[in-house]
Amino acid sequence: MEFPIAGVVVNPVFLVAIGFVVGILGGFFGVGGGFIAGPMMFLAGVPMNFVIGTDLAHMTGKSIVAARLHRLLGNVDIRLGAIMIIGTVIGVEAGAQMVEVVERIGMADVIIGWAYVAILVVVAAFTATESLRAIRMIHTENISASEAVGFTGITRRVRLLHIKPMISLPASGIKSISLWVIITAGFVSGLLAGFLGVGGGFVRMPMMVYVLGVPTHVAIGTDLFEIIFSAGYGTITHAIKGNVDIIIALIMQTGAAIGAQIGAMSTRHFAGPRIRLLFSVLPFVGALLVIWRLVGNGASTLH
Amino acid sequence: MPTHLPSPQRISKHLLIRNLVINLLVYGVLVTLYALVVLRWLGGPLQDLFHGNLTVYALVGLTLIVVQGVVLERITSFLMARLGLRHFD
Repeated sequence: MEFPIAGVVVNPVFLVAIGFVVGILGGFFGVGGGFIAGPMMFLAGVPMNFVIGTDLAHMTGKSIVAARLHRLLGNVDIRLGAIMIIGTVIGVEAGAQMVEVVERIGMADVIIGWAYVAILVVVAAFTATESLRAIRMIHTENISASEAVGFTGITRRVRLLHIKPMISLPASGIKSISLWVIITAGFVSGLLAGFLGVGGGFVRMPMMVYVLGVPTHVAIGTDLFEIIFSAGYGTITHAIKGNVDIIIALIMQTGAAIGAQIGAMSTRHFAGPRIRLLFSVLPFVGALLVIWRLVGNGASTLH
Repeated sequence: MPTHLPSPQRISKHLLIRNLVINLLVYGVLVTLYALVVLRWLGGPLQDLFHGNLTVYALVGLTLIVVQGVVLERITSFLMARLGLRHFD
C-alpha cells in the first residue's frame, strides 16, 4: 500500500503487526514501546523523520484504549497522573534544552546514545534485582503478592518529607505525600524523556513504584494515562513540522487497539513482582538496540 | 482402563485460546474493511491538508487518532465481553 505523505510503500499487515506487538507491551507494562516500534518502522522503509512523529501519534491512540481498560480495572490514579504531567512537561522542555547544549559541543549522538544505554541498563538491573527479591519474600516471609516490594528505602525516605502542601492519593493507597515530590518525580522522568527523545514510560513506571510507593498495576495504568497527553502533545508538535503520516499511525493503531486490550487484561493474572521482573527485560532489549545502532553508526563512519 | 478427562483449568485455557482466535478473526475482518474503505477515502484529503496547512493537518490528525482510539476501544471491548474473554480468570 502506498503512503504518499511519507512517500513510502509499506505492507499494511506489517504495520498492523507492529502495532499489535507494541500494543500488548503497552497494555501490560504501561510503556509507549517506541524503542521497538521505531526500529521496526524504519526497517519497513518509513523515513527516520516520520518514524518518531508517527510513532507518537499511534502511541496516543493505543494509550487511550489501554488506559480506559486499566481505569475499568481500577488501575488509574487520575489525580496522581494529572499532577505528574506538570513536572513531566517542564522536565521535557528542560531535557530538550540539554540536547541543544550537547549538540553545541558536537557529540550529541554519542553522549545521548551512551547515556540512554547507561540509564536503561541501570533501570533493568535494579528492577530485576528488586523483583526477584520481592518474589523470594512472598515465599519466605508469607507477604501478600500485591504488597511485596524488594526495595522500599527510597519510598520510606520520601514519605518522611513533609514539604507542604501534603496530599492524599486514595486510588494509590497513599495517605499523605508531598505535592512537590510528585512534581519532582514527573520532572525527572520528563527530563530523561526530553533528553533521550523517548516517551519515558520505562523510567516513569519504576519511579512511581520505587519512589512514590504506588502499586505496580496502578503505576502501569497511570503511566498510560499520562502517555495520552505527553504523546498527544508530541504528535501535534511533530505534525506541525511535517513529521507525521496519520494514515500509517491510524493503521498501526488498529493492531495496537486489540494488542493493548490483551496486554491490559493480562495484568490481572500476574502479581506486581512478576510484572516488574518481566518488565526488566524491556530496558535490556532497548539498550541492545541502541548499542547496535551506535556501533553500526561508528562502523559506517569508519568506512 | 483409565480415562484422561480434561481438567477444568485445561478447558478454560482451551476456551480462552478459541475465543481469542475468534476475536482476532472478527477484528481482523473489521480492520481490513476499515482500511480498504475509510483509510483509502481519507488518504486524498489528508494529503491535501498536509501540503496545504500543517497546523490544521496536525489538529485533524490528532482528532482522528483520538476518535479512532475511542471507537476501537468500544469495538474491542464489545467483542471481548461478547466472547467472555473479559471474565476469564
